[in-house]
Amino acid sequence: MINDYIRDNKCSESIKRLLALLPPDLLEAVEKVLTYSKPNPPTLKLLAETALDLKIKTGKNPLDEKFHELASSSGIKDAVDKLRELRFEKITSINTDLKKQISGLGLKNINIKFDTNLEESFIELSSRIYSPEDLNAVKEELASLIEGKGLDKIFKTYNDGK
Amino acid sequence: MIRYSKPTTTVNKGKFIRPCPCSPGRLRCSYYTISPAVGCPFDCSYCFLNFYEENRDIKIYSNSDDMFKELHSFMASRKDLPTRLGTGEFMDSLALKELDEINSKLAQMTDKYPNLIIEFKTKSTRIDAFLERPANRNIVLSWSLNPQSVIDSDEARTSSLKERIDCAKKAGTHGYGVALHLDPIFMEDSLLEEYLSLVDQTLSTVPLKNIRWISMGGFRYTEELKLSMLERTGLKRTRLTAEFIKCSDGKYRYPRYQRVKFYNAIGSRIKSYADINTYMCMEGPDIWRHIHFDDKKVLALLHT
Repeated sequence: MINDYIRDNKCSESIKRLLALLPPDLLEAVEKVLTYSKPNPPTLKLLAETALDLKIKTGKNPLDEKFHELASSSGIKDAVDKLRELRFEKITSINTDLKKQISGLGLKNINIKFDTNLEESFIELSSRIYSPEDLNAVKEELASLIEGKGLDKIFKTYNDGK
Repeated sequence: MIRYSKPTTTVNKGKFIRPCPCSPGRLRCSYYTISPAVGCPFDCSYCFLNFYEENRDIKIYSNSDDMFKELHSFMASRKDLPTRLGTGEFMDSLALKELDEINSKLAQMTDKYPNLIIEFKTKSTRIDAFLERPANRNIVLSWSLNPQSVIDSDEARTSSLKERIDCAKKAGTHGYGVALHLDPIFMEDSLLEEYLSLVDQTLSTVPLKNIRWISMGGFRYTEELKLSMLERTGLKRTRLTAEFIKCSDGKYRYPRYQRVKFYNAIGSRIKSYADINTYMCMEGPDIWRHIHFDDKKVLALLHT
């Protein structure tokens, strides 16, 4: 089944290599996901690498019945997000703090979602934002540091809610 | 497992000398690499050479005369500028006896060019040839250091930490410059004490006045390297399950707060021995501005 998925979705070499690394129990679980969901290749990749990392870390298969229940009821993307929160416990906790901090500024429509490409910025922000002015100051600084990559996501919502 | 066979020779049709590639958006240290060969007999789990299939064999460039010609014209272009040049980017500088003669000739270049500092970076103990010739501080013998527990788990077939430190002591005592590279640093909380102890062990042994610089670099990897590590070493690579963040240059690193914590702890310990030039490899201004062991002298060195 996984080979059909790889062929039909023209998966990249790195996805093929990643899937080849999966131990039998994880591969079986990923194939089970494909029976009730149609993840696109980036989502499948995130699922496979997160599951593999957790398996190496804990020795247990994280794609258990609970995972399948969530994935089939709420969708595979949400289930993968939950899985990544387990994989990145410390970072998730920092993100949660940051969200609280920003919501405490009294701004509306701020929505920060778990995104590995923005994690560095989040962690940096969490220690420096205490007011709406701080948020603007940090915006400029970060934009110059990382050439604005992905920052629009955060600051567009900030400006919209201003 | 021995993956490497006897070195073969090939012609280098490209350049021998290049600016150290560093990484986009990171502070460069004005370092240049010179490559008389490519490939390494050691088997470090994290080495980027591992994912270049063609680099799993060691190739020595047969046209070393071209390399020296290029070196002369490069130094002419540098005029009097201090120039740091090293052979350890795509190979271990000293591990191969086949390179002893070339290494000796490269070292002699410091007589001709007083502004040239040439570095031979290694994880080996092969310094006998150097100990038989006159030394100067612009010939820098350097060692990559990691705690013995990391050497045991991740640096197969290399010399022990104690052997490396003993060699660094011999090199310094003989009059060579010595450099130390704490790279990659595995920034797991349980290892911090081992890194501090490594600093103590090293700096209480090696003559401090001969240490030209110390670099630090947190473990970082590309997606490609991670796959390669898992493929080569199986699914026991628990170091890869720490929390890493994808940075703007595409490499995964430990979170910024963790890097700052390690760099400051290790850097401060180094500075407690002497005012040794200490810098970070492949880190950007976002990290540098949180570093409190830094001094202006280091930044001056970096921007030379």
